[in-house]
Amino acid sequence: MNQYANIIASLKESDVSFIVHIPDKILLPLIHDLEKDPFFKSVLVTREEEGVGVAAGAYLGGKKTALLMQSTGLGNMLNALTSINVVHQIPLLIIMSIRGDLFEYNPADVPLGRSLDSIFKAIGLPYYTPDESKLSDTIKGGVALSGTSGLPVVIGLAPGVLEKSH
Amino acid sequence: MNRQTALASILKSLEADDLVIAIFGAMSDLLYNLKDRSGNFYMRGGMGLASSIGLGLALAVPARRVIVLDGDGSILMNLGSYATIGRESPHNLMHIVFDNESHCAVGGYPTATATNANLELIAKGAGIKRAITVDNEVDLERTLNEARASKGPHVIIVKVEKDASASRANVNRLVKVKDRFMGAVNREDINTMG
Repeated sequence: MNQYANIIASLKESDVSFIVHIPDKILLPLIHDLEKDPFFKSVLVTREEEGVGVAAGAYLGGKKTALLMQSTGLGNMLNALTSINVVHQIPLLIIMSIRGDLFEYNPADVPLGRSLDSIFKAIGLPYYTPDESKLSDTIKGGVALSGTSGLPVVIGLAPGVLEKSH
Repeated sequence: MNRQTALASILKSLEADDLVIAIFGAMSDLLYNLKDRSGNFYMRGGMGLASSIGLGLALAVPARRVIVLDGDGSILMNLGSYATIGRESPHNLMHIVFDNESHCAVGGYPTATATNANLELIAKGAGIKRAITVDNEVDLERTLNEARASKGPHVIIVKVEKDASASRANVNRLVKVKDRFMGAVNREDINTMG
């Protein structure tokens, strides 16, 4: 199974049907696959904090939600996460492709990319960076943890993880 | 138009099943004081994002009408939201902007709607066909009636007077606000501790 199919199967198994996404080259094949599958409703938004709002609204309407994005966009949405999800206890699975890490070509992505661990620690959000063998369990476990804790759970995909199959 | 009068008109047109999202500040406070109900979601943060929450909710529960009570300063922070609403075009979303042409809650500095920005045209330019500006009670009531009878999304820009008076609503138990609201979405009384 390739990792895109793996993610889709894991989201389905967890009943995550409402997907909000911000453009990302690494996650684009996944987004195309999601759009072809009637199980999912996917919404393209213009920036990350808008996506946090749309996902929160869908959760209020009874949907389990995931936000797909690049890690650098975290800087655009910290206030939205803390002042909506954290204070109201609104679950959200965030799947982000990690920028600013090994092999990064753009210096602008490095400062936030290298700060991800500290930022999530500082605001108290669970953050996982599974390899391909743990990806499915981390998604399913992350959705469960997000539901029980009422906190957003973040899964960072290191460069190359999606290219491997298992 | 006085914002309290405008809100009273909107509340008069409200049906029991309608779901309301209100921005932090005067809109939440006024709504709470005039008509607290389980189908009200009071924001305390998430600045700029009321229209986005309304969009997600409207898409998730297409059988329910979703009314967003927003402000000019708030929607100006998130104009991309109109592009997304135009694209998704949820028939059950009504986005009402109380436009007092100023950042009234934070000192009153004029917003761009005081000088140059026309929110109705911005919404139309984003593909939201049913966008309108009203500045009096008669037009507001007629617009609300027409909106109820037609498919959305609707954007209604309501020009209101600046009013810096505050009557803070005691809305601090935000998990309870959410649980009660989700109970209204599911049409059940919720008193969950689970």
